[in-house]
Amino acid sequence: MNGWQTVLAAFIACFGFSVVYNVPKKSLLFSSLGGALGWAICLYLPLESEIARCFLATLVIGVYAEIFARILRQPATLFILPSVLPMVPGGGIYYTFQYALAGDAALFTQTASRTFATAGVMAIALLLVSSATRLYKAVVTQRKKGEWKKCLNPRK
Amino acid sequence: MTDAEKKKLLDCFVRTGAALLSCGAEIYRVEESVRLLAGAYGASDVSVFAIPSFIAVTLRFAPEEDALTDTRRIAQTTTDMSAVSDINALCRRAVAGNLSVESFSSQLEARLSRSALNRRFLPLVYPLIAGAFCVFFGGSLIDAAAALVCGLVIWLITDFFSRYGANAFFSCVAAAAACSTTALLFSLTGWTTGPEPIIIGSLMLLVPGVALTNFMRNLIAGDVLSGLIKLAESLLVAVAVALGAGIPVTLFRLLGVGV
Repeated sequence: MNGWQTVLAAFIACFGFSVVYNVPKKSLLFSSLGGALGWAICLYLPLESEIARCFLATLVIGVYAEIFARILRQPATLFILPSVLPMVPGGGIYYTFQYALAGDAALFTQTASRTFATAGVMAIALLLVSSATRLYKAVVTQRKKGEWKKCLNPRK
Repeated sequence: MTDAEKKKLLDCFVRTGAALLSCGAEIYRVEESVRLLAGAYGASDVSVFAIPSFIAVTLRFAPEEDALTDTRRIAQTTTDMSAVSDINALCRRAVAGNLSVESFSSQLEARLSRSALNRRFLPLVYPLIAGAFCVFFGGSLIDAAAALVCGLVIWLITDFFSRYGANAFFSCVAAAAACSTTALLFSLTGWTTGPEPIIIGSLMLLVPGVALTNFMRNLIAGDVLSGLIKLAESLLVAVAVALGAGIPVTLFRLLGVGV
């Protein structure tokens, strides 16, 4: 498979889905770039396991989304949703059921487990980033209120 | 605060939550937004429960008062990120500053009235996505050109069906079948590398990849019920797509047309 061509294709596809999802105009470019970035990382990362590469690429997308959510003052989902598309196991779930309908039990279980594993690690990566961001925000607001010390030593 | 005012507030909060849900906001965002809003407008006790198709809000303005409850059934959800972003910003303004209930309500209403998705560009964008994903899955440029047509076919059918409020499962089967027929016809010309990249590339328009990831996110985040609903939805759509795409392939094989 030719690498840079698929990255370009991922960019165009993410741009298209950003329009379908009605992403605000000022964020369109960044939500599509996120998709290309994520796919490029997933493609070029020197790791054997595809699932590990997916996980790391999704982590980067999560951080990317949080950064641009700050800069453009918009919810992070707006960047996450189109950006994860190239990695999301849409093809996998389609093939899973095609094998199921064809009655091929071995290929069905194999594809199904890979599809759900991919979806699972991507969800975990996105949750890790969003939970870390929320924790950071909570700590910052508590500090501003001067309750930071109380938070560290609740007994005092 | 009079009872009428309280009811008006409650109605306003439920409408906000329902609006967020119907444009595809995450469950935690919906529940949190309503909870913060209610707190900002003086409710002492708030409980919000949301799943993709339903929201219930119960408020109490003083501990000894009777609770007020309102619910909404959300009939249809789309993914409209502009609306999510705008309503979210409106909620933040309301929570941070002193926005009166009237102006909050009227701003929400104004946003919802123009919240119909911008459908003008879809007939251009659907083929673009299909073509791009065709190349993404290893198709040649000629395959991509065929996928452009398939994307247009999918748009025509889903648009036609949604206009008449047809069942989503049925519309998916029909769109996938038409798309795979078109791809097979193109591959009969012999110029393409085969029907496979064209079919899978254009079917990415229908396949519930994002829904599958969202189901996992909901599940792990603790919204188990919403997660399971999303799972059932995405499995159903996947079956519909595989079924629809499989019918023409089998037919062509039975007729002995070389594919």
